[in-house]
Amino acid sequence: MNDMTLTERAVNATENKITARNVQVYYGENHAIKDVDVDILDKTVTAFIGPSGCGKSTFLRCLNRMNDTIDICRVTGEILLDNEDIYDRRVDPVQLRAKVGMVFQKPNPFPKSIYDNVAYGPKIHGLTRNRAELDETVEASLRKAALWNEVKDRLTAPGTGLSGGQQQRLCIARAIATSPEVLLMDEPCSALDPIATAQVEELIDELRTNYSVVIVTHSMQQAARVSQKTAFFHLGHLVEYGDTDKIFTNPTDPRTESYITGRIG
Amino acid sequence: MTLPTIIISTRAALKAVPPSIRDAALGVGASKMQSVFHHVLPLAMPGVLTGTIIGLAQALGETAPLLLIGMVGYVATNTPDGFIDGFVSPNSAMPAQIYEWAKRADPAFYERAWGGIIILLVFLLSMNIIAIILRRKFERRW
Repeated sequence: MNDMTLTERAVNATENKITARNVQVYYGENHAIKDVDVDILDKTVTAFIGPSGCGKSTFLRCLNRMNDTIDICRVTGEILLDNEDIYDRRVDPVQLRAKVGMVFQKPNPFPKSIYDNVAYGPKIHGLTRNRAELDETVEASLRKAALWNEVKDRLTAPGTGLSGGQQQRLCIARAIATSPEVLLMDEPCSALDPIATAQVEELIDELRTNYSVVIVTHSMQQAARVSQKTAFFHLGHLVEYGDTDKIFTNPTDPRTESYITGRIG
Repeated sequence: MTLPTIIISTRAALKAVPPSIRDAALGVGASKMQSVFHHVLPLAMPGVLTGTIIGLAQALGETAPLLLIGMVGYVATNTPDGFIDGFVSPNSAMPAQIYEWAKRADPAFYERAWGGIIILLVFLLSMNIIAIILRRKFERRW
């Protein structure tokens, strides 16, 4: 399965979307992320892999400043989005999060209607001027998330009444409704069955045409299937970063090799 | 003596809102204020209302703290003379007033005490009903 996708893996964008330099993250005394340097390309799926507790999710949450909500968390170093430091004092984290959307591990729709779930982002950011435009945005987002056909007749039904896979796609629709430039996904498929996972993976591949997608995953097969670039984290260090086929077929670091062959982690 | 009941149940209700909802709101770019007012507070509302019902029901019949802080002036006339007078003249609460009336020998005062008790009960019942209706309306399934 991997070989098939590895061959047709063309990275056609070379533009840097996010540049991280010398990023350190501390949880109180605990040094969680050490010296991470990474360049995330535009219109590319980048996968973060590594054993549990190695800092993948923590680093992902740095990219849209979700770590600000954790009191003891401290981030130093430089993270540039389109050459602007996102930890600059003038940057409003709220505006940043509209540009850098996030999908979480567990599907977490608001206990409101499907329509309201998707419409919430555009509403609070004032992206649409009237009801008709809002309707259009909602429909477009649900279509992009491959959910429209399943829910078009029951947009007023509560979002929590959908199945797990549908809920996760609803969360993706909600995240893309604010038309972000980067989409962060923190293990989006870990709570889903194989069929729903396949749907979400297909969706991620489609999203690549418009957004830069960063996905954290525990499944190496998934990383190999969906991503063009892969970063391997271990104990807070970024061990290796490069093209996915290279990481999986010919890793340079012995730690990467032992992880992907299943000796550690 | 109502505040502790309301505070405890409100705290519990706010904590019971799953953190994933907060994350979701922040993740789509809501400010802290928006995430609280659009999501956390509406979801915690049933719990807050329950606490308020219990608190108010408790407060309606409470006499002891009033005796301590001196809210037991005997109110003889039905309406105070003017707006300011209503605040400065001797004041009382319903339970204390009923007690004042009930301990007087004249049957007319007994009648007033009865009336006071009925008003207190009707008020208590209607408040509970309103709160239950509101709670039903706000209740959400996960």
